[in-house]
Amino acid sequence: MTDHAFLEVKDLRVEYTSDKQIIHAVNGASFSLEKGETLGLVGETGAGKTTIAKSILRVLPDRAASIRSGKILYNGEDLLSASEERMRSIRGNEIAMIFQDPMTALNPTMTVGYQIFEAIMLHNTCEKAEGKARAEAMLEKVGIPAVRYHDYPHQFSGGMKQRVVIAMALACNPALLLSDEPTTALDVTIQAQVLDMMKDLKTEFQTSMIMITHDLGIVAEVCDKVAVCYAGEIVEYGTMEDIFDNPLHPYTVGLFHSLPDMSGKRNRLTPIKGMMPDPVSLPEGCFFAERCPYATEKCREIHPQLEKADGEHEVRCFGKENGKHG
Amino acid sequence: MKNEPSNKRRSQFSLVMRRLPKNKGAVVGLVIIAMLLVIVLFGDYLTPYDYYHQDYMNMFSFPSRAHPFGTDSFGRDIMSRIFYGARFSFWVSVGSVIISAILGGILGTVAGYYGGVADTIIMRFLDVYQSIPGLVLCLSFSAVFGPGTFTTMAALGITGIGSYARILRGSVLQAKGNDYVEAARAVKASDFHIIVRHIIPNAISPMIVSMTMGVGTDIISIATLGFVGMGIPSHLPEWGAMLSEGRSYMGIYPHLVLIPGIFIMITVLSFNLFGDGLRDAMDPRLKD
Amino acid sequence: MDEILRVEHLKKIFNTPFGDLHAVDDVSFSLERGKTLGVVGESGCGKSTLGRTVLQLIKPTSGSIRFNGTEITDCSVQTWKDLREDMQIIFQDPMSSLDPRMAVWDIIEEPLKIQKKLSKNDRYQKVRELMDTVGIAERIQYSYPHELDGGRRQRIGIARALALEPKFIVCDEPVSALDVSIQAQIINLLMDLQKEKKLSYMFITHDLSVVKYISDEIMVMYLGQIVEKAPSDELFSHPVHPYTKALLSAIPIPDAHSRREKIRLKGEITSPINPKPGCRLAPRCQYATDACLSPQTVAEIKPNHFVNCCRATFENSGLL
Repeated sequence: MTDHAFLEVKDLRVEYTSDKQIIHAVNGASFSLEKGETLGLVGETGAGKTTIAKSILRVLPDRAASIRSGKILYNGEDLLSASEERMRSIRGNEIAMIFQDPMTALNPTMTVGYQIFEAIMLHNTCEKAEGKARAEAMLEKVGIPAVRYHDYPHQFSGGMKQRVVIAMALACNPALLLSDEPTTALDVTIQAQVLDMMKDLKTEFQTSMIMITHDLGIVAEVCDKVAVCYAGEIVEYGTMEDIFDNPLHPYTVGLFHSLPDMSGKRNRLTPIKGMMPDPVSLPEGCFFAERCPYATEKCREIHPQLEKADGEHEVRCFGKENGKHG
Repeated sequence: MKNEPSNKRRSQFSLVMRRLPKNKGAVVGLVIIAMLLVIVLFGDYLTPYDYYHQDYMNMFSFPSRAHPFGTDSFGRDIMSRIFYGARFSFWVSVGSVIISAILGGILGTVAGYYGGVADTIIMRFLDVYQSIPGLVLCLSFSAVFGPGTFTTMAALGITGIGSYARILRGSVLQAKGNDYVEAARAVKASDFHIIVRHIIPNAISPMIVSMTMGVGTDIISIATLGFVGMGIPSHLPEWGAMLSEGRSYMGIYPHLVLIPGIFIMITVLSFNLFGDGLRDAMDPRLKD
Repeated sequence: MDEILRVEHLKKIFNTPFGDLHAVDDVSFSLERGKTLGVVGESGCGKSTLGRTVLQLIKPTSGSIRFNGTEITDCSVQTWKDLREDMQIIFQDPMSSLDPRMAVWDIIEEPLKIQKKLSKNDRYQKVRELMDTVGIAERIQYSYPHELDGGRRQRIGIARALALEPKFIVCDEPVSALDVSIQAQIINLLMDLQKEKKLSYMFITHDLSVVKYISDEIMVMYLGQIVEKAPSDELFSHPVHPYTKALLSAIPIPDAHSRREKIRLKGEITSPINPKPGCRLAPRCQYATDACLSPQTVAEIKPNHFVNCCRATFENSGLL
């Protein structure tokens, strides 16, 4: 093992300013990722998942968002202090991102083949013919016949478009792929096809991936590591088995209880009561204390840190000391 | 982010009254409109000269203490003419816009909401109708009913329905696709209720903006009609007419076109600012 | 058997410039009072059109819908007026289903105002009561929809649907747009309401885990047709139709150690415009044979378990 991780996010803090209000979107997120691994970033709407991914690529809206502190070490290099020129050569080439909505990610006036070709030519100095050949090969890789190179996006269905988007993202063989809910807009059977394909390609290209999702099922299917996000911070981190077999944070436990059990009987669901705190005015203590069935006085006053539970498993909860985990 | 949920009842009217004053543009627009109204209503008392008083000793004089806006080719005081003419330009343009908005709005709403045959008939009719040049329509209208202030207003109003109908039809179609319309239908709401309560409030914004622009174009059109002798009699100092009269001397005496031009511009701008502000104030989704 | 709804041979064909779109094609089912019928399928399978056609928000092309024993496809205006209130709908997108220019209170009060049965005072009481039932705090009664989160918006949609005290509600993907923890709150609310008010639901969704949880009986749709229909537990434990199997095996299971047989469909959903006779899944089905190209019939392979697949029918008849 080298002395530094492949990707390490340290104490990332991001704020948005809107109408004189400060929205604390990411509040000290830290995690790391090894080469070839897939990390699942799980959480609900507004947990800050997408903001974390956009911070890594430095594509946050300039005016509204500001990165307050933190480091994003990519192969030991801090991306937050890298030059814009360096970032341009990284984006798409070494780190690529797939967005949720394939409909808006493609330019409707250009053929899909050309869009992949363009992505390749942007970062490579190869002959046009070679670029085109590679674009065609990419289409085949994602399961679209190369004869459809000259088709336009509107001639494709949602699942096919997402395949094209994935082909574009993988065209330059990036070392890291950020996938932001890549299958949420797709039907289940198509989602299954796309996930299968992504898994295969990941193995083939040795790509590391951050999979942003709200669906614990997808996490179980594709991820090695899991980071559970809540109100802009990581509340629990561990291997997929750690999180699914032995969830420690009451929020993670609550998430599992909220899901209808596919195998069992019709028991009443146990939702997490209440809602995520307003990111404009976060509580002083644990962000989850309001909704936590085990919260004590201490939880409401002191903000817990992410601490080692066992092995790689980390949790941000005092319950470990009190021995009160769900 | 979310606004603090309020437990006070906020009616549409109180919402507008509370928000409009906070919108600087809307306030400026409203103040200018108010000033224009003063000129329209009391213009006769504000100037020392009659609008038709000709002073051949003072032709083409530049703005001075005696004639704040200067005089025209007949030595008539421009300020008096502007103030007197305001009533025509203001009422006729505002009136004609309201006429086209109401008629066009009804056509557009019916076409957009009911769709099908009604839509086809209305839209094909408008296609034909709009293919006739506006000026020709206005002229034939004036030819039938005789020139005059009211005829001008009606002629311009009726000519303009096409664009309003199209704008509203588009936004009605969009509003109609929302589930809340279906929800209203599921509780037996009548078409009239749905249109008045759900469709129009959500579809009217683009039309309000377009109406404010319409005031400006109509002021110019009034001048065109006047110019060919089918609108407001040409001896009356209506702004558009003043503008076209002054055109011949534009190179040497620019104030002849500048003054009416500026007034037309200010009127259009004020309606525009006010319309924009009103639209924003009416939308509860926008923040205070 | 206390039947609230019986639908027979219902068809809805839309005429498009490209041909006839068979959105709902010969669908028959019935629903018992106080029970939930789940309707599952992917986008474009006609499940939403089916829900709206049952409510007569869309006029069916042909077929019969009997609600509480009354035929509603061609009943008199007066009868329909009386029945309308008994059938309501809850929508998927809690944003588009609430008029952004109306406050919470007005949205819930609107059906009562249109109904004109209650006095102003009674109406006030009723709205209060509805807000209590669905759990909307008094302090947000004059808020506008955009100021609220998805869960609260959906509660408002539910309150509006309950205002006229319906007996039957079509729930069109009511929790699909919500986060899991909120989703569970809304599902619980719907189930409590069902028990309390003896409601019958037609629960339309693409999410199989939710539908299994809430439904007594499940109907799987593909391109406008029912491919399989069975009691909830039976469908999940013994799926027969290849499409149902593929659908079930496609759900990602939130379990670190789940190992399942994976059945994947080839390609994507085919066009519902001018469909060929024969099984509509055939082009994507790994078991398809020539027999699949001729028209299919629905068979009851076990009591209350219906399948529309020649191969499955044949195999199961051997087993029985």
